[in-house]
Amino acid sequence: MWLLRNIAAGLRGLFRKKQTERELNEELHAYLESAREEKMRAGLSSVEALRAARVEIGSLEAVKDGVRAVGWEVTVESLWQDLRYGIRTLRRSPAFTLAAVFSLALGIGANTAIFSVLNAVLLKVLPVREPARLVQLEETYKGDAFNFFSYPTYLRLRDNNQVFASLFGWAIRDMNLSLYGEVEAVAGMFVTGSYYSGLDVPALIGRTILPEDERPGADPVAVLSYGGWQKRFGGDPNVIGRTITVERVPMTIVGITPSWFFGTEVGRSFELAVPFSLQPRLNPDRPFLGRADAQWIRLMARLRTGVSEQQASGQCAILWPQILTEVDPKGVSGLHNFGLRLDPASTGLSQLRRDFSRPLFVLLGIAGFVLLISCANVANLLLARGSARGREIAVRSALGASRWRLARQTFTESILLTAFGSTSGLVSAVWGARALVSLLSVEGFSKVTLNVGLDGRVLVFAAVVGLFTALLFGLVPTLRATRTGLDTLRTSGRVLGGRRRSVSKLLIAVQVALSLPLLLGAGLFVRSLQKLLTVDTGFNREGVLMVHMNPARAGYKGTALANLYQQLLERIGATPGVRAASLSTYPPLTGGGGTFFSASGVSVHGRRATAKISGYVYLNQIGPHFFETLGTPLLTGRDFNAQDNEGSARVVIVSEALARQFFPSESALGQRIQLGERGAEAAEIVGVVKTMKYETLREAPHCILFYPYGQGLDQAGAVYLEVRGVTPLGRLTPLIRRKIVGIAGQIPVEAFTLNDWVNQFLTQERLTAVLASTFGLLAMLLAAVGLYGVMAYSVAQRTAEIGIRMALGAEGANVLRLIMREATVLVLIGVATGLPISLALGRLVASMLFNLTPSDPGSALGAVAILAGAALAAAYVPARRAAGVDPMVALRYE
Amino acid sequence: MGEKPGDLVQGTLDMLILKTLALEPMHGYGIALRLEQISKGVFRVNAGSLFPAFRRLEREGWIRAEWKSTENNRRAKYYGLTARGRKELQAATAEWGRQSAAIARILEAT
Repeated sequence: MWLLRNIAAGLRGLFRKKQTERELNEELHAYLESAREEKMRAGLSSVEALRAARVEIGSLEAVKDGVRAVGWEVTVESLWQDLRYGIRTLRRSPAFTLAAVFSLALGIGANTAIFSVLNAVLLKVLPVREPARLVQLEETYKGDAFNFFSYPTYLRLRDNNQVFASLFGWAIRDMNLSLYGEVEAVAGMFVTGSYYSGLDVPALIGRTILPEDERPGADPVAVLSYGGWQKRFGGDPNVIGRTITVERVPMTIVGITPSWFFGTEVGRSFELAVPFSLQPRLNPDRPFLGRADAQWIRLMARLRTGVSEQQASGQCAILWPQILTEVDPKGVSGLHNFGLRLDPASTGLSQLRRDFSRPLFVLLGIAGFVLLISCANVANLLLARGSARGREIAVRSALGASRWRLARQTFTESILLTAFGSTSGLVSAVWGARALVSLLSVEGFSKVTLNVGLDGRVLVFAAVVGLFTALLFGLVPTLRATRTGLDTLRTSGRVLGGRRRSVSKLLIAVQVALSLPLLLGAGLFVRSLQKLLTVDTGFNREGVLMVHMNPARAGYKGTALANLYQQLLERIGATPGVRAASLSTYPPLTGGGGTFFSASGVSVHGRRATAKISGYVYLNQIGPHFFETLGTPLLTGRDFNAQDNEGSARVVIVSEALARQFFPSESALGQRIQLGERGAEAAEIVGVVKTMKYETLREAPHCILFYPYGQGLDQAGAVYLEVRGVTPLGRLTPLIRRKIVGIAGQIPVEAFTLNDWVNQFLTQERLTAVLASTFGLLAMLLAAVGLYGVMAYSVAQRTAEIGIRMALGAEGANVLRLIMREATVLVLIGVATGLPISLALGRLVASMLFNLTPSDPGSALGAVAILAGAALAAAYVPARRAAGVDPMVALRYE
Repeated sequence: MGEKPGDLVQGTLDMLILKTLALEPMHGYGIALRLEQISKGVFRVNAGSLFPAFRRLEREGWIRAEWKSTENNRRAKYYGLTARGRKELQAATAEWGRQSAAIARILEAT
């Protein structure tokens, strides 16, 4: 009650200030009048009485001030005054303000941008009910984990467990959507009937996909995501019930999902979801549904109420071997090597997270350093200004301003600077985060969609960073400013405390020390990227055009498909400007066709009967001239040719790594390997090729097994054509495209260079290298500018001293050396402190480097040299100025 | 009592104002005059302490102000005691009695 009244009275005081003031005035005058009357009654004249009353009451303003000071509102008012005064002061020195705000905006903006991406990739919880009860399923094999499953596995797991309230799966695939007579590839998603109910995502309009839709023979239905609905149908609510055609299959749109639902894979959105049961109809060339060896589905589960993750894991451990045996009745060898693991999945699954969480944390750390350097810069600016404003502060304190009031005033300015800095930082962060996301996407290959909007967490982060910043750079100058004695008034106001200068210098050393790790990091990441770019991939990435096409979707099958490939290879190979052409199921670096080798899958018939082999082997079906086209050396034996067809003996070519692993003591040539089903004809190894990088650029050599197109064990509809040109690819591409149309008709093709294809796998490394270099250079620039400022200021202050030195006979060179020595000492202190910090921090990023240790001497030396060079160059300018001082002018000036 | 003659012990001014107003509502100068008269010139309350005290007491809800005309037919702000102010006065008086008696006992003991 009292509090309320007090607040009300205070607010009245604030907002009805004029009236309150008027009343106070009137009351005081009435008081004065009464006093005068009293004095007159005592016998004084009217004039004397008034004077006496005035003397008695004292300064009316002082009384009013005393009254005003009673309420809390006066604090608000003086804060407001401080703010207005602060803004006025900042406006009076726009150069300083701009420099400080820019510095801060940069630091805060960089941090916020990276944090908001980090937030979207790592922290944002799936917007569904009780996300903490969600787990993702992973199959483990000897310490490796794989999170793809086959549909039969899913069915068995779903029907036999007692621990999941719901088990659901999905697979994101491009689908061709026919709309308004045009065919477009959209991001589609196969889902289990339990997907939406398991996540508890309702439909915005209509209904979601239900378990009934998953039954074989159910009417084909599709659900649109909000994004897909907006993009393809402009948000038309009448779209429900409409029939659309996906891959030539007509289906009914039954619902739209809400705008906040982006799916369960962070960074990969979808426009269209259809039940898994439609897969064989959509992709008749690859009916994956019934196949236990097609592992392509990601699985997630919602734990049953009361079941803990451990209990669920326990049951899965028992269940998993049974399921494996049931699904693959031929038997899997080494069952004990396989396991099923449950991982928390409240934030969804994300390839992006696996690839980028570490780089993002590292970048956040780097941005944090940049912010610290910005803080040191702004603190230095404030210090320099503080000494320029010494007089003003002395005057104010002489006029009675308390130390606290002055400190508050100075700190208000810091807060103002931060507020401006944070605001502009936040604005640039929104833009920067989007730019960052676009750096994550690779044009033409992978589109990353991330919700990087400013949510509460990002805003809190920016606010905390801003506040921390203000404290960091504002505190020292604030304390320092208020220590200004009244002496300043007596002198000319230019005298500098030695301590202020030493604080500035300390800050410079700190900046140098902080810049060094950033430069070293930048150097390491750039060199690492260079090494990756020049790593021996086992193929020549230059000058190769790749064309991805799926003739099976266009209706080619069987002999027609084989003939088509035959024709494509012959006619493209004969095109002028083409040196060699081939095709393959998988291009390098996809890691496609990987499979566990076990006795049932592949075995070896050497001269020494059956040797059992187990391990991970990659199978790839290729055309003749594949190695010639890619530039992979054939080590021994022969390449495939047109005679390797259905009618001839089965042949394979293996990678050197496979040959070494499986036939360590003898030649692999002539050995026989059994591919596919038991009883199928064993294939002879006719060639060994240099092992190419097959899954990642960083990998150790993989076991790869190539078999020819002519002997199609499992003829896939989608292929990559590889074409090595002698003419530039830019000119060759349209030619090849026309050729394909001429042979195969209008089928959708995607063309890109092998170089671009390889580069997309370096997105993470490139992102880190680019941002780390940018931040490193920025840090160096800030440090150099800071050093320049402090040295220039120091030289200006010491003009008289330098004049005297020169009058006493010092040469310009001596003065130059004097100033440079000062700067060198600062840089040396900075480097000496920064180097151990850098090396310690370097260890944190060791795993991100390729063929490089974090203490790589070349990088360290380079970083020190660049930093020292830049800093000393910055110091040289004022030093030159000092050397050019004319003693007469300097002394006369004094 | 205080350092300078006529200064009041911290916090007693509020009590004295409340006491003065217990009889009838008064305006500012009237209160000052009454305090001086009753204390036989010991307390000369200056405007610099009086007016902030009014504002404070008003905020506390112990006194209420009203514009009225004076005996000389001039407008003046009259302060009157509220019910809460009356209660506060009683409490303060009792506390003051207790304390001054205690102080007196201590002073007599030595």
